Amino acid sequence: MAIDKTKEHIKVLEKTFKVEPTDVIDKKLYQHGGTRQSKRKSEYIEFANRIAEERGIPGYDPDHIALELEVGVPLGQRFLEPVKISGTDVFCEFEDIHIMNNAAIQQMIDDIFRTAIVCLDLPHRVLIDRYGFEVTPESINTYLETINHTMVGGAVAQEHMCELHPGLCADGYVQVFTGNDDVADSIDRRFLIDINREFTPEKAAKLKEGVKKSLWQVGRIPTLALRSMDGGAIHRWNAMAQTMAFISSYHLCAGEAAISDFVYAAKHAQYIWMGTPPFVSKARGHNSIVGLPMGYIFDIIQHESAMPDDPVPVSSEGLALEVILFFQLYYGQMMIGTVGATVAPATHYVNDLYESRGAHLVDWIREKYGEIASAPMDWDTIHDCATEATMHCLEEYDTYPLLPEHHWGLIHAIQISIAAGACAAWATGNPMAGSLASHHSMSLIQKESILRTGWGGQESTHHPAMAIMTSVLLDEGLPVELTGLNVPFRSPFADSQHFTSHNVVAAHEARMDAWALSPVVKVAFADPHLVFNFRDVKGTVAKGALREFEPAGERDIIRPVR
Amino acid sequence: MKSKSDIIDLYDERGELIAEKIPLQAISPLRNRAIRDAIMTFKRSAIINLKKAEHALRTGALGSEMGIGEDCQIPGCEMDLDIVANAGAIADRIREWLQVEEGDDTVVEVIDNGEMLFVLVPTRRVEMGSDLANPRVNVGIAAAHAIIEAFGLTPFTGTEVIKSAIFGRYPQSITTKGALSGLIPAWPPTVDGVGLNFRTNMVNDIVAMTNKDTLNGAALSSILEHVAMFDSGDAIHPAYERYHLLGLAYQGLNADNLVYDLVKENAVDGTIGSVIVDLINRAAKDDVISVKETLPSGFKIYKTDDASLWNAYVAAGQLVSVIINCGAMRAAQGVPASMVEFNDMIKLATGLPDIDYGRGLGTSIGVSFYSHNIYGGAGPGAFSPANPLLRHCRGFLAPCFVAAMCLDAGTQMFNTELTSATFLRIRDILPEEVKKPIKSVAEAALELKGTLR
Amino acid sequence: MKQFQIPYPGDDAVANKRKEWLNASFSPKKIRDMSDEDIVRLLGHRKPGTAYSSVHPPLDELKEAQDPIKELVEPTPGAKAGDRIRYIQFADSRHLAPLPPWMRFRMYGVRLRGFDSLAYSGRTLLEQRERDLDKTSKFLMETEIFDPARVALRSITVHGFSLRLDEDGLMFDARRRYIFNKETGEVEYTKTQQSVPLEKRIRVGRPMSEEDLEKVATLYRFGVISPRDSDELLKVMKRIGELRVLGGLRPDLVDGR
Repeated sequence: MAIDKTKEHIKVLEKTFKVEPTDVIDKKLYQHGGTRQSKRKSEYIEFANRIAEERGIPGYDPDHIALELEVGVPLGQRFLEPVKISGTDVFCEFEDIHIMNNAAIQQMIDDIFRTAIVCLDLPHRVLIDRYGFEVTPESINTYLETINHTMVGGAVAQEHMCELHPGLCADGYVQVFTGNDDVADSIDRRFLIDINREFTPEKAAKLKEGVKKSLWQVGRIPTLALRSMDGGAIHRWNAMAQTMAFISSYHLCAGEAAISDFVYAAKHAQYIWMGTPPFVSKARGHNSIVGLPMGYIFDIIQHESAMPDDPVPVSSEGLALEVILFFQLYYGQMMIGTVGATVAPATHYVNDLYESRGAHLVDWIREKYGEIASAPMDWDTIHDCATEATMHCLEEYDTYPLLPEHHWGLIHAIQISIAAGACAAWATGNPMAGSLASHHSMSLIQKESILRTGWGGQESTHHPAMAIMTSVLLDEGLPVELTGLNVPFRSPFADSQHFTSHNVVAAHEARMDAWALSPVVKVAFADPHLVFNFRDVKGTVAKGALREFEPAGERDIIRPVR
Repeated sequence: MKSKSDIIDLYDERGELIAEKIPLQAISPLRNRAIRDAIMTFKRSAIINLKKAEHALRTGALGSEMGIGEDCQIPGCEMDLDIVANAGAIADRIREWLQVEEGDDTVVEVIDNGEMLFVLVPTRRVEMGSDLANPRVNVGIAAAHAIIEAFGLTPFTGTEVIKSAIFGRYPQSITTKGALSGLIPAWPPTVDGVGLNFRTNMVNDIVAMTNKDTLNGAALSSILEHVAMFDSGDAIHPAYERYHLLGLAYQGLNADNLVYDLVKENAVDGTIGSVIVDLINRAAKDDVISVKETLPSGFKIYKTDDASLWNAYVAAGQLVSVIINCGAMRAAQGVPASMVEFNDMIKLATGLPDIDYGRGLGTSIGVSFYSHNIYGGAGPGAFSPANPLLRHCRGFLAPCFVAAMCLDAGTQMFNTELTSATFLRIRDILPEEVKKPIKSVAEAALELKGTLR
Repeated sequence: MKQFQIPYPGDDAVANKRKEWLNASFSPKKIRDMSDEDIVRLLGHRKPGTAYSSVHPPLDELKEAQDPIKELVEPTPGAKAGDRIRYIQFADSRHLAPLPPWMRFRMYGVRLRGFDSLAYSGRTLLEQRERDLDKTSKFLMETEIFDPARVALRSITVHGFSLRLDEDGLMFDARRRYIFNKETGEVEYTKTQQSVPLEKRIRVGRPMSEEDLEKVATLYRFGVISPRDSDELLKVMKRIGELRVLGGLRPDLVDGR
């Protein structure tokens, strides 16, 4: 590989490390300034010192621990590189994208799991068939005004209820959408997710066909409720708000037998969980990341497509979302905790590396197969795509020693597998092709080329996946769109998930699909009022890194004024 | 190439021929009497630790959810009942209530002077029941009633406490960590899915039941594993049924003396590497594999006309690798590493798939990590095949874990004595098909010789 | 030890070097002498000259149930004595350390009886009964397996295999367990593998030249021998991958292939 310093990700490395990317010697090693080379670590030390003084219990104190007690590693012996959030001009430290340090990432997670989606067709049938009422645009709009009151803790039927401070629930509201343009036109615009406005005409047409004539309600339960309670509370909160709104806006009897139909419709009959409950050993409940099917990733992201020219931009957004959810959140924090695992997943959405490698692979696909998503779904294609992507990446690591330094530990391995999968997914438009290519790359091609993969359990998922993914045995198989962390062979491992999930995004983008799993979820997250901006995942995370993102669910109103 | 005649010879743990020219179907869990009997023993079993119940009641130490040890002690719940001394009367009541007809196959054995009861509920109750926990639940509730009656307790003198002594914190928790257990710990609310019940025993449980006899331990584990495959749908379709029967035969039951021969060849100076080479040579000699293509370097790509038989040979080789490596170390901790070494190298040495088409290699890499690292937990003996880490390899890993723990001379913290003492205590009264399955299964297979293709 | 060769595809220098390590008869070049005491000091498990501690009584004093397999398999000296199990762990730099983790791991499987190992991205754990480990450690540190600049002894804070090298060409170690002595041209350990300071420095020899490292390399590397050119290996991997997928659905789909 000729040295090419015009590559975006190599340029970023050169800029951040301030040395030649081809240098194999770090002349300043051990002299980079320790923890104090990092603005963030310096800030943390100052802050922690104040806390320790106030409470009388010592806490975070890396220099004391390592240098004075001689326990653990002295941090900052190597250069602690800043990173650029891909697709933005924002440079930050890795610390800024740890979930605990980034309010935007926290809100992203909250916005997904505080979402309650219900079809209103059944409640309307109850009104029409069981009561003999008319359901009109006016009655629907009245209902929507009412539920936007009840959703945030407004009382409508009983006097002796405690209501909620609206300032704590500013992000709680309800909207609706439908594939029926006439019905949509009759909905009060304040409550409508307008498919025609939020999507291109082609995708809008497909989505309207997908969601059909039904009227779908999207409730956003206040972030503070999710944070104070749990994911299981979401559908009950929605059901209470919804049922009270029906009772009140349609002047029903609060306690007659027919009311149970509204409750059943709201909670069970036509309710969409963002996360279904997992096996007991996962020790999680409803609306947890463990129960989220991968197909929803493509449906949640709303980035503008550049297809048929370029599958990379949307794929890149999907990659950012899924590595945050599956790797940073689930494995890094929910399974490991404390320092977690931020750097490895974050390398997927920093320094424009994915975009740069993606551009090469898209060119290679066009040259070899013609159009995107046109290659045959067979083992030759899978192997060839996996090989090309693996070799391209390996060559970069050998050519630019800064790159493996940036991609320490397992990172090189997961980066290569992501590239392999994306290549096959883009080439074929088939997420299974991409998934098998990812696993083939890790378990055989890259491993045998350089005789190393990643951390001790790195290959655990990759070898079995080859046999499991197209199997029909009970623990195995499934369209990849339906799989997730609850699938037994995936759940215990850091890198078990995001390859497959990424291939779902890459393949469906290559196919120019309007959605991957659920048109309903796709439209639900097109809501422009959401706190986190799913049209620009990386940009919003960058705002969080800069501490410029305003999250919801804060308690400022009810705490002492400082 | 070897035709798929599916005739096997069975050898015992000493390498002695015990059943010649047996049709493969004769070891099927659907046909073999010894395997069916062993499974019925597991399904019908319940164990009541009366000493534990007595202690819990005497101290009020009820409902602890710790794996080992206890933290709960409820002031005011103490009950001083001589349960062990009254074990006979309690056993009589339980027997009377469990049995459907006089003289049926109900068993209630008093063990260690009344400290424990080992129970086999009558087959009729298993036929009636809907899940594996049914017999145990009946025995547990019978024990509670029996204690209440034996000591004349009333709702005002602590009957609810007796419930906890037997069932622990259930149903506030979803486990039962009281005095009640069984040969199979499967408890529906705690099992992650369907078809896993026969995989819920800890490795150490099997080691205890077979008294640390390496090949019989591996055999019992293999039987439970492949029965689980029949239970879970994994063994349906003629190709898959054969796949699992061959795996059971060659890895679990020392078919054609393959395991014993390879152990013997490598017992003194062999390594995992030499086992790999010996296995490839044996497979070629037995016409299980043949050279498909010789590459310019001289490397031979093998092919097989019977991939299920190749998999069974690989399963046997994998077990031998574990026996040689962990046996030389007399320590179990190297069991996942041995399996990784074997599978990682054999696929590249032959161009043929490794055990269970990669499921085994990935699974053993995972266990290797989780049995060594901060993210995991415990040594090999404390894992069960139903564990999310082990369940993906369908039948071929657990026997290796059992073999390794049988060979461990005392290096493990979570050893059989600590985790599975109950099974050590009841071992003597277990039937031969559980304690020494190799011989029992072979004898039962002989009964079918001539009756099957 | 039994003599054998595990087959491996390919005929280039890398493939042939790999095959050497998969050959039980292969004797790697011995390039330094280290005293038993220094090995023990570096391992950091006990003081030189002290007795091995045991985790259980010697095997011949153990009362074990009869088991034909236990009678058959010869235990190692450490197992016979009931030694505790101890570790040695090496980090191997991506910049041409002779044995990357999976090669090191496989080499253990070829040559050692009675061990436990685990290959990570940059390091490889080895555990054995203590007296067995002492013997193995000497082999591992005295031969071409151990290049003092690109291979390091580390139990904790293993990070560094993928980093650039320091100005003396040494792999990064945040615990600074070793230094380059510019006067002697040798690498010297100042701390044990656990990073506990040693009473005296232990010399582990001169780093290999870049040319020598390339000669003993077992990894494919662009600029040396490209993995794109490993035709036989790629062919075999393509085949194994496909057979895993086919057999994963149903084993008989692999029959005859």
